[in-house]
Amino acid sequence: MTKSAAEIEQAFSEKRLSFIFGFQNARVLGKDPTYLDHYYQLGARVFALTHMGHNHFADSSRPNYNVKTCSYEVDEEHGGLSELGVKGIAKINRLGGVLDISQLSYAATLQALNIAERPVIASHSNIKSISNVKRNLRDDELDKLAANGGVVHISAFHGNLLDFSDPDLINNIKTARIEADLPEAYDYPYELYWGIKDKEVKKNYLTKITELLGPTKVHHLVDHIDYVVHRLGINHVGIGTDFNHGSGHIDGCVDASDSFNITLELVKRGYGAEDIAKIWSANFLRVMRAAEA
Amino acid sequence: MSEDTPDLLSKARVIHDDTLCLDAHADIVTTKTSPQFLSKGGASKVAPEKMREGGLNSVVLALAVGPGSRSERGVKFAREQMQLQHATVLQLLEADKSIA
Repeated sequence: MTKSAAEIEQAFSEKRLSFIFGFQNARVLGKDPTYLDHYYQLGARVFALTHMGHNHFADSSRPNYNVKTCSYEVDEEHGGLSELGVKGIAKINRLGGVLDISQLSYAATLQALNIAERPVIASHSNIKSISNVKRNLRDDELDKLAANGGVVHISAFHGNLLDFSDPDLINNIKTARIEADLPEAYDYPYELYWGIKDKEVKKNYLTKITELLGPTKVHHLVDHIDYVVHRLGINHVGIGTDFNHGSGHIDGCVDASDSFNITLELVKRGYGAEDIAKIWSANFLRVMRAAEA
Repeated sequence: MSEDTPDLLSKARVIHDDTLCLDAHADIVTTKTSPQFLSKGGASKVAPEKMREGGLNSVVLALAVGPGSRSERGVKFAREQMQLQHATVLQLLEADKSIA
């Protein structure tokens, strides 16, 4: 298991694959930020405080849905970060870990960027201006991330990549949700599909939404990369697929065996070797080194 | 935009092969992972053979849990989930010593 930027580069020079452990969801810490030590000792070097649902450390961009009460959590439990969250970020900085802001609420993201003592990453987040999903990053979050020296890594999750703003599409999605007995309101089209108990209904719903959204291609993913490059420059974007958690329903980007297709699309758009190296890893490694320092 | 000419493909191939390609976030596949998240045949989407085939050199594998209870029992269960993920990756490394 690699635990530093130098070890990742060493492995590459030896033509070896390398794995790095990340950590996601401070719910597992209970109320104890010092328990981060345990995961650092296990090898984790990238630390995200939230997944779906708020925890004692921070608010999530995706409030959890309670199936018993048929209601979502409040939008904000802490107004962003809690005191524990502030301590947790300080702890991550002291450990030399990379803070990962993906899936934090808007307020928590801005607060984290205010207090982080090192550059941070968003390990798997997309661009809200292109795909209006709550967990995607707004322009002011992106600007603050760049000011911090950080990097947003674009994910391959088509539910967060596509433009859903067409009114007819919105209506069709709402109709499909009602037919599947899901709440009509949604943040992203697949939201809460996992709560559908009837397997046939679930399968039909997923098929219907996928049909409605239409094919997703590699160029959709690279559109998000382009957006960041045009807004922030080449030093603040990378790739974080979110594979094995619902992503990869993209023609030409189904899994890691398709990685070349992203490079090919970048070359088609005029990116050169140095820029592509930054996108694929050099930006991430720069942040990792800064965290280690 | 350029078409996929042989020259362009060749240029992209050279760049890709010379570049350290790193994926900053993927989930860890365990016995608990839903098959719908996996590649056809049930493999991890970042399985070593898929990484080699696609020229992906490095991946951040997240010890991750989703939403759940914050009770003592809920936290204990979440820690067990992460422990299982950690152990699964270590087993993979043990089985394939070529991975750093």
